[in-house]
Amino acid sequence: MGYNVLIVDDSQTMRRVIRKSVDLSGLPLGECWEAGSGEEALNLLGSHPIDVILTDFNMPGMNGLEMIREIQKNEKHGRIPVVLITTHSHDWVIQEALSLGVKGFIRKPFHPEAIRDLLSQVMEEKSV
Amino acid sequence: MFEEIRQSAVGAVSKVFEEMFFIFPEELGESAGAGGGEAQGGGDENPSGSIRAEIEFYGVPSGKIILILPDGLARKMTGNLMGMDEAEVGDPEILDMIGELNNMISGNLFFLLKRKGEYRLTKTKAERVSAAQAQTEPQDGGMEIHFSADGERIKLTIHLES
Repeated sequence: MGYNVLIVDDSQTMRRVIRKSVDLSGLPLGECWEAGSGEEALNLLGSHPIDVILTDFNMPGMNGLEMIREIQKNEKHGRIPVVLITTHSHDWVIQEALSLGVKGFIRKPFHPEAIRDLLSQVMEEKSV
Repeated sequence: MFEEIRQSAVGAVSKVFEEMFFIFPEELGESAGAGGGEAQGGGDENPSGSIRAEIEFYGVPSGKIILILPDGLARKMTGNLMGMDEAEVGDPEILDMIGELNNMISGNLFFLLKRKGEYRLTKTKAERVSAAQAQTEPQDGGMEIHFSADGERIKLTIHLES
């Protein structure tokens, strides 16, 4: 059975681009869900078996890091690996993300290979 | 500082257009920015109007970044990126894509500037504007940088708060 992916980005265009990259990755993935906000992502986590989360940082309402903090409050979801896909590559965002245990960063714009490589690495770590 | 920002802005626009859309924008000279040059967009010859996206940034200094590009180019880029026929592309998709485009340009601009300190970007607001509005922007000054891409003109304006 493949790994289920949750894509979180308030831009529908960006979700579609990320999803296309995930589909093209050739990795053994299962279902792929999309959320347009951190709040929507938290709801989806409650009802779907998610294995990895790809999230934007700058979103209205809860930002990506605030969403990760909320996820980590939940014992069941707290260990789901998270990858940040963002235009924000300032030190303070990276430091804060690292302290929250984020598994990797992809800076927009990105090549599809960047998503494939990072997803592959996360899946490998998860299977160990 | 202005030259450093201009160079970073040119670098950011080139990177985002090339990597995301396989479009290679060319920076136009200053004289072309006032309405000359072969590239079109935002003028009377562009009856479909333009798309304008604005993002604010907070830091030292604070300001805003405005991206304007003609409807035809915005539609084409959206269609290509989303794998849709241009005729199927609607305003919600175009505005979302141009907003995200300005977000990426702004994020990369600050990355290239390598300035220390904290910068926060707001969410981009994107809207459709008339050709006349596109031409008169910016009304309150700012650094204007013009590009030509696929025969159309793109305008990036950076306002810094004094």
